[in-house]
Amino acid sequence: MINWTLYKKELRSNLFLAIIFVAIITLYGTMIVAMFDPALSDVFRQFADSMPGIMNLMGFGIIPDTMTNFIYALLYGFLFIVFPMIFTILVTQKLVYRYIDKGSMAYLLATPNSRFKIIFTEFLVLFTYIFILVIYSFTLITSTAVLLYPGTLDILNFLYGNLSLLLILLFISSITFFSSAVISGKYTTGITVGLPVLFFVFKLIGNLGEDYHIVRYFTPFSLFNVDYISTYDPMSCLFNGILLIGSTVIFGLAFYLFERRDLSI
Amino acid sequence: MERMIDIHDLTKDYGNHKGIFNVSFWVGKGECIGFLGPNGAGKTTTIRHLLGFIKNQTGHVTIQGLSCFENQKILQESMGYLPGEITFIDEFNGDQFIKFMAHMKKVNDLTYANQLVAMFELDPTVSIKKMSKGMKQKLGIVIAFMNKPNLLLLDEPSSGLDPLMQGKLIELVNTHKKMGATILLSSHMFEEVERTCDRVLIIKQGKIVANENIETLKANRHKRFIISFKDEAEAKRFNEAQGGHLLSKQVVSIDLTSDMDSFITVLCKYALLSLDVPNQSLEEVFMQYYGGDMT
Repeated sequence: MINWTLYKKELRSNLFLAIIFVAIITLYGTMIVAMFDPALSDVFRQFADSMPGIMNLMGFGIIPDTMTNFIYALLYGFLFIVFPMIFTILVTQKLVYRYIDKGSMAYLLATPNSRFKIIFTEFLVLFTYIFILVIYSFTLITSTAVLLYPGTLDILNFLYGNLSLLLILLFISSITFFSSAVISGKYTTGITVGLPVLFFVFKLIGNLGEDYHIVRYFTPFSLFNVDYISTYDPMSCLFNGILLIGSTVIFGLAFYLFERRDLSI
Repeated sequence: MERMIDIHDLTKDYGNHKGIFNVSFWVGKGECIGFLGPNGAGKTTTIRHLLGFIKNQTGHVTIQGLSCFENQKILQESMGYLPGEITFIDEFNGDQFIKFMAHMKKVNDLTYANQLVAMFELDPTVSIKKMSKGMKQKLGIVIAFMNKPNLLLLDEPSSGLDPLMQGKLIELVNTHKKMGATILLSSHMFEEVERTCDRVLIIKQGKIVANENIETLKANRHKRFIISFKDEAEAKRFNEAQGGHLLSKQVVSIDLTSDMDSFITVLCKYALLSLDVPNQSLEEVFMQYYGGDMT
């Protein structure tokens, strides 16, 4: 099911890119956590009480009144979704699309390995990197918060938040993976890059206020709701379930169709 | 003869008269077949079917009785492929790529690969990105042959190679043929096909137009001469008497139909500057053979 030679090669090939993103995450992660100020939390709370909806307008999706919510608001609402999303797009392009576009996929398939084995191995590389990024984000922020402001972070809830992050990233990557592996021609890049970006723009527009709430129904990013996650709202479990099932179906479909498609390589 | 490759009524219609149409042929075990045709005729499309990259719309494509698309993994175990347009994974150097492909092809012993590297005088330490066309071709040859496959699909294997290396390639193809390999070789060079293949298939506009024994072809091959005369008048006099084809004012091309002795005797009567025997491409040989247009 897995070709370890290819798996190791792909891990190595994308290592540099991963290091760059780990560095960016480290920079922003530590900086934002260090910015946390318990006094500021009260200000935010008063702000939210006096002007309901202001936090949503700022795109936070949650009132940053505790360390956990502060991290959700400032990192998991934007930066820690955008960076891994860009990483996912770039890696998927390298793992699948470039091989087909350039024709070097011929070399991978002119070997005694089934198409499923090749595509599943490429998927596993993508999954490994997303998993590493999420684990790293969790470890980095938890350790920074524990070091700088001991006892302020609800680690269990934050772990749950990171599990949800993993699921939304997997869902987004399933879309980029699907278009890279299955769709041929000039639209591939457009869909692989454009669709996740469009979804993200919808998320931002949806956050702008009540008038734009309708847009939220057109982006999977709404299924990553830090407000629900912070309170273990049952809706967050439902959303996670949808993301898990959705990404499994899309990845499964990508494998199935890749195995059956014509490859002019 | 036991059939290695069997293609029957294969069609892949890309629209606009592009693709291959009702292609049928077979290749016996241990046979070496030259696969000829102009660009865009359908050679690569046929080869892609054999590799299991493309699914047949009609008919069947089998290797050793197994359908190529469904059994790609099993069939690749004893196959060697040299693409016509080589695109390697360019982050490697030659050596790393050979090792990577050996792992992928489940080849544990690199002795033969190293022998091939030495034979083609390839420097495997060079990064693929910096390799010339010829170097890439040599690397492609090493990869295709290193697992000593039973079936070799070679798409213009000598392109980019210098004459010395072309000779070595012919030698290598013949060695594998002796070892019992079945070979499908697409080429434009008569010499290469003449020295390796038993039979020639010609594909034109997606259809097989000829399937001939190489000996029959050779027997029917005309000799072509390019003759430069001392002056225009001589060229004209020769042309009118012998029925050649004026290439320029003083240069005449003629396809020899009579025997060589009498031709030389005739030539003695004219004032010549030079006499050339150009290399004939296989298409030209076929143009003579079929008296039609191969392009």
